[in-house]
Amino acid sequence: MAGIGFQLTKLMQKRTLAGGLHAYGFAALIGSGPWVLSMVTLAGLGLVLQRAGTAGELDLFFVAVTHIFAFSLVSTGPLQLLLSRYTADCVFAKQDEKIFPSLLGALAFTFAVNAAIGLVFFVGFVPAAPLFQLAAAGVLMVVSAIWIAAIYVTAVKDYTAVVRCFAIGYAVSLGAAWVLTQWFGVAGTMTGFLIGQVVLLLTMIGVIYREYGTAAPPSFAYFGYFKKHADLALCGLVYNLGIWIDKPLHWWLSPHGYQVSGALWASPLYDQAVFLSFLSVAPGMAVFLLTLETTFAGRYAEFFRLVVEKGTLREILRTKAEMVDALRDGIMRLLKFQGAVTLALVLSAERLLSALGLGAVQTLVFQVTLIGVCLLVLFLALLTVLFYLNRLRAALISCAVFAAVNFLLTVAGLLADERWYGLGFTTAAATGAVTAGVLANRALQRLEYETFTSQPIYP
Amino acid sequence: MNPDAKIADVCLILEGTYPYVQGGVSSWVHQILTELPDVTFALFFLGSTSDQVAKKRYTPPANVISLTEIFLFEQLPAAELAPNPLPAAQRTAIYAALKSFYLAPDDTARMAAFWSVIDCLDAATAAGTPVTFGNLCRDEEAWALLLEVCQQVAPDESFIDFFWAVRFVHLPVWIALSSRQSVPPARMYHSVSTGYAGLLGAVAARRRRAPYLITEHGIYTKERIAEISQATWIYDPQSRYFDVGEGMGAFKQLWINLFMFLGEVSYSGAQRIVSLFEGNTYLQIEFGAEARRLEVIPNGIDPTKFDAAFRARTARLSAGLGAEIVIGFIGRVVPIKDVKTLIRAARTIVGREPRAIFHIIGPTEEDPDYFEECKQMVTLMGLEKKVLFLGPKNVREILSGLDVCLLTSISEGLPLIILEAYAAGVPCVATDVGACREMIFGRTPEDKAIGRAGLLTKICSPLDTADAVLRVISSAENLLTMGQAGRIRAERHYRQTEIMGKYHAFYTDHSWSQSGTGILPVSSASDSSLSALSSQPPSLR
Repeated sequence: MAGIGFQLTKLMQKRTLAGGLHAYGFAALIGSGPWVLSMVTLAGLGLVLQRAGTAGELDLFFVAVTHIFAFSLVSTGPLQLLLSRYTADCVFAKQDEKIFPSLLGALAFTFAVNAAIGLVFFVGFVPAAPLFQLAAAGVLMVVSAIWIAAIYVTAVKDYTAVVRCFAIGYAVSLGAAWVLTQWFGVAGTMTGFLIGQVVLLLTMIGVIYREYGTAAPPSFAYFGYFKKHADLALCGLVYNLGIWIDKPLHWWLSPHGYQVSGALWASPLYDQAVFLSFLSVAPGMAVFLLTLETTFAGRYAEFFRLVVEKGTLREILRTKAEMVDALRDGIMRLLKFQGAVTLALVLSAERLLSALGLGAVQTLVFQVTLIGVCLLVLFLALLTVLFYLNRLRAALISCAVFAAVNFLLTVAGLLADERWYGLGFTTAAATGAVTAGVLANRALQRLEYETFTSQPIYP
Repeated sequence: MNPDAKIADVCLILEGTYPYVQGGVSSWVHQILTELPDVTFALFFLGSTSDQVAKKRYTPPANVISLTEIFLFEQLPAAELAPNPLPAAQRTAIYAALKSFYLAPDDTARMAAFWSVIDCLDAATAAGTPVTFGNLCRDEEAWALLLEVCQQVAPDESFIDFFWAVRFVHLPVWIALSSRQSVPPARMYHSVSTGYAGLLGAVAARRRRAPYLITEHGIYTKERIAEISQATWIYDPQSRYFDVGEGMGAFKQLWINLFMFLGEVSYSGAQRIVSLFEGNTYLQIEFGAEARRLEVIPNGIDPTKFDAAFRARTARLSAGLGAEIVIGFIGRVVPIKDVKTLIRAARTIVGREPRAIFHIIGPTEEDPDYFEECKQMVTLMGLEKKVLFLGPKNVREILSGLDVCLLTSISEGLPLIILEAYAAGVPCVATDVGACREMIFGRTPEDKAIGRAGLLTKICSPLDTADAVLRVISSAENLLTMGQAGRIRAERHYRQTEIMGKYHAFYTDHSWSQSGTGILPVSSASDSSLSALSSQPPSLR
């Protein structure tokens, strides 16, 4: 008989969605976590060490640590997001044994890169005692390694262990810095800080080892992800650049900026106000995370479960509607909560800052950047949603808009006068939030379309 | 006779058959090609995958001027996977046409929408931005339409299965359709089945404004539906949440609707639709063919090749029945031939007529388990001396030794072995399937007047079979009369040269494409099939 009907059989072997749909969104949040911690640390160190050294030495220490945070976050930014993805893929593929070797590989790589940056920068361009120079380079290496280790600790999902690590690490940092400052001055402060950070790193590795430890040698398999997920790496880089770009601009271009020592610059008028407003990020982030984890993430997982496990069209669309509702709800709650915190801080800014000994211009910058931080939290929340939805290109575009606007308007503000300080950052956060919002909205609207139609016909 | 050697007289559209696949249809095609040397042919072969054509089973003769192949289950080229940026006007037109196709209220509207889809696709190709399969996968209009259709036809089915089923149902159709430009130019088109070949035949003939003829050996649509209802691969019964039985129905229905629609397009595009025997014309009507376009042309035989066998047998029987009465079964020993019923009947026959002996002639290796079971049955019934498995033999040589030829098949088309038996003057006892009734009793009044060339039996009925065989072998005279009738029937109504002449006429004089056949094979049986039409599932709904 003519005809080829039987051939159909071959095509109809089991098909589901081709991978890549597992949630890894949370790991992306780590991108915001570290710099919240870094700001808290700086503020804490400031309070404890105020009486330990002379003002000039204190400045040198703070400015050096600020640079260290900036360098470490920008240099590890690409790797952070890639490793989030890599570990999530390993967990999804049930290849846990690959995780610990990749941590060792990532640490080795990070050490090498930041040792180079640290030695060139601090030894080459910062005139100070050799102990200070070496300790600063060491802190850069260790702090960078901590950001990397934080990715893996998140994978362990033992959040109390993370808190414990940081508590121990910073307690040791503060204690050792305080003690060593008495003997060696600012070089002692840096060395003490280094000791604490090393302890923090080691306890973190300990936590990870308990969960994923193997005797396998370091692995660099994640390097392949630089090519495979170039968007992700770029996103990490651009985002961190965007967060930091306004600071060096103020150091170098502001009339209030000055050279602390060699290549180290600072602009206390701007830096102190901005670091203080960054502290307000925590409540909004916490609220959003909670909503995301309890409602949005649940609906999101249910959506894909229904897709893969043969849900009907009606069920799939209903779950998507619930997911959108949950997200809208979460964002509203975030805005209400963060808005309330911001409003309270803006209104009490004058009293608060004068208590800390800061002036009127700084109060203005503080108020402006408080609003900026509120918008930044919104931006971060929407970025997280984009990561969830695997819209890396959209996330990259939002980050690029954020960084570009921050750069351009900060320069513009500096060319004007103090009244414009901080507005660059705030406008950038607003633009980033709007961009990410529009893109996330579009991605959500087209979620089922993209999920299905992007499936390749031939695997 | 062909003034322009580049344009073939006939483009034969062949799905999964000649020259790459062996079988009845292929040898029929080869016969037409070799026996009509003055007609030039372009062959268009639709296969599943290219590894299928590694080896040609037939060497086409010199009047075949081209052979084009497409493969419906090969991977699409990269250019077909990426969506083309279609101009807005074209895009709107195409998706409007597709929408009225899938959501058509009735078959007529659907058919009209189908042709406007084809016109839109042609217009897009002509404008330099052909629609690709990528467009159908990726365009938002396509997605919106998919959702709409899903809500209509499968609102309670697993959506991911629906999604993949829709893609896979369309993939081979798309490959077939996108090859419409490469169907060679010809003065007429002739497809040897409906299905994808019929679709392409209808589309190509319309493009070239050429006549289109279909010859169906089996009924493609019916065979596909039977295949699909038995298939287990269409639905993955892993569902934890939904009723498997229902899901099975919906996705099988997609495939069934596809083949029903391909049948409808083929039938509506062809000016003449040929089947091998009358029974099949009723099925064709049921699947959407217009009665006035139908015609029956059976397979043929050259009876003169069996003259020697005929003479030998007549001489032998004129002397009366011999010490043995040989009842022959010629065919593969497989379940569809129902050899077991033959063995059961053999016991009854041997009980009443001890001279009876059974020769089972034909290959036994195709289904070794079945063959083994048959042999065990023979042993259990103590018929080892009466039922002999002889293996394959030269049919022309053994026919003269047979007194009667027995067919117990559950399903048949137009069995060539009956024609061969007739040519040798051997009467046949056959089950009432396929063309057997009209071959044994005659089709037209003149044919019936020739007389019976054997008897019909019910399928799977050893008693009925035994009874019929005993009646036929009751006397030498009976065997001779029935054998004569068979020979005359073969000579008058199944003559090879006459049948080739009919196709030669189709190929050289296209007047048939202007009018109906005049032979309206509409009887009471087809009336009831027509009324059954309303209960058919509307295609692609």
